[in-house]
Amino acid sequence: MESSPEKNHDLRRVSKMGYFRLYLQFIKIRLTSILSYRGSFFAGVIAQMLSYGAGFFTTWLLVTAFNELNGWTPYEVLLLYGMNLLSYALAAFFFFNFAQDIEELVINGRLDGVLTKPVNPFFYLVCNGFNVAYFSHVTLALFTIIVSFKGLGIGLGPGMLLMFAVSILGAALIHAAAMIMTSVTGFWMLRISFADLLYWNLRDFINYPLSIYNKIVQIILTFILPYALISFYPSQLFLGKEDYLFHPALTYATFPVGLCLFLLAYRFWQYGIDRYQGTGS
Amino acid sequence: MILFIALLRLSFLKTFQYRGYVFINLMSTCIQVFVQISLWLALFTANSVVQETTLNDMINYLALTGLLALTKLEGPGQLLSQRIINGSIAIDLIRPYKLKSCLLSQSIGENLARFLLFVFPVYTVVLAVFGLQLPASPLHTLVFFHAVLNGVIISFYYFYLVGMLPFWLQSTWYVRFVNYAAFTLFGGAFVPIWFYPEVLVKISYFLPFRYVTYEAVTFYLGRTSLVAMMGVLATQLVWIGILAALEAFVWKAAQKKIMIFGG
Repeated sequence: MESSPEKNHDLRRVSKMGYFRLYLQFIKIRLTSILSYRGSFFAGVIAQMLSYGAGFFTTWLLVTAFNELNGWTPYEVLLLYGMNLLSYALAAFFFFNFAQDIEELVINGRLDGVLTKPVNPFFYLVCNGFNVAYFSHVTLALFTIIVSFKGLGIGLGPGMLLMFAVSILGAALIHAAAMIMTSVTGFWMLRISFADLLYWNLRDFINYPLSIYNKIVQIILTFILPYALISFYPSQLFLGKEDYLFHPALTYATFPVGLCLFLLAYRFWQYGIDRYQGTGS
Repeated sequence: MILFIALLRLSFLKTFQYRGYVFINLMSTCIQVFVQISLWLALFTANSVVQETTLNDMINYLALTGLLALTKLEGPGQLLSQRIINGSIAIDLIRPYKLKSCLLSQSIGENLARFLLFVFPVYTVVLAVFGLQLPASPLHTLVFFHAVLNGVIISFYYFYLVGMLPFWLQSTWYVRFVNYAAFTLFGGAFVPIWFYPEVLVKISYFLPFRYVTYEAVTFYLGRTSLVAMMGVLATQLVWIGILAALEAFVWKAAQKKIMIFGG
């Protein structure tokens, strides 16, 4: 980028425009690397679609065999799945590798190198970890969501469509916050895969309506680890259901809560990296 | 033989060493089981019998499938893949031991430890709470274990075959997703196949996946007669034959291939 002498003074301060351009560069490099491994990329896309698709399909079959799940019809349950996967994939585009790789970076000492670069390390790691493979999840999730709305005969107006987008964005921020927070444990070398495993299993909970669990789990997943805000509460806005459990206002809470959690997670990450000592490798 | 038992013991002890790993896995199994049980409880609140299945049948299905999950021997194939990718296969081929048996005993030891540490305790509690169904007779029990053993062998050969893919493919990280899908759809890993539409049931008969654990579990639950089960055992043996022959053939081909590259 063209830079005036004043800007060169403090290299750490890259302008907002500069960051944006830098980000596009990173994505371009990623895409180029995929083009050189086209075969395995597409095989991967298909394999992941199959694996998630099999999960969706068997759940749909099951609920169909029983007609309903706690008052939720098969397509309604499918929508929960779809919203969960879509928001997860949107977050994972940017934060999956970011969370996954941090321990490796700490152990082999490459994180020290990242810290000396003249950009915000958080930004650098997010860009560098951009994962195009989630394209397959997004496609499958969108397909699932469209199928469920079609199956239910629900057409969303422009207002509702906007609300849907906002909810998904909020849900993606919740997923992202969880990924960022688990990655902080990597600074302390607590084996990130452990945190990861728990995180993955928690995602299982919200593929079904929250109302099938007992009260304690409902409280935890609403107020402490607000996973239910990802799909269970917002979906009811579009489905016209009233399975609110605690308070109807929760259906609108996804975006504000997601934003707060994301900022909190970012703060937590900064706190972690400020105290990072390096491993001396 | 002594060597293999020693390997088995070592990998068993190794798994015991990682306390954190054990704890997290135990937690994770608990969460999985909790979600599944909540799901089945909710499904059975409206109707108590669906397609000749009761809640207790389903809990038993879930617990048995969970208990047998580790009889799916993925380990040897995965270890083989790793060795092909990192190149240590070249040394394995000239060393005076049988690679396949080594990898096999290593993963049996590991699976045994994992079973005792975080599978058995969880499902014992589940079955104590909901009630374990018992097989009809000692003969049934014997046949059940025979079917399980056949399933172990089928899964071993299947995953070992898949594990050889890195000889030919650039990257294989996605193969486990395909396996997961196959076992979910055609192996009854999550939803019993008897809830499926006719077409899928028919397809499942032509694939090895349902013969790994599903057939043994359905027999245990009394859904397959003893006579029909003999047919299943025979089919399992046919699959073992097919997969073993394929494995030998592919292994030969792979050795030729590896020599072309100069090792």
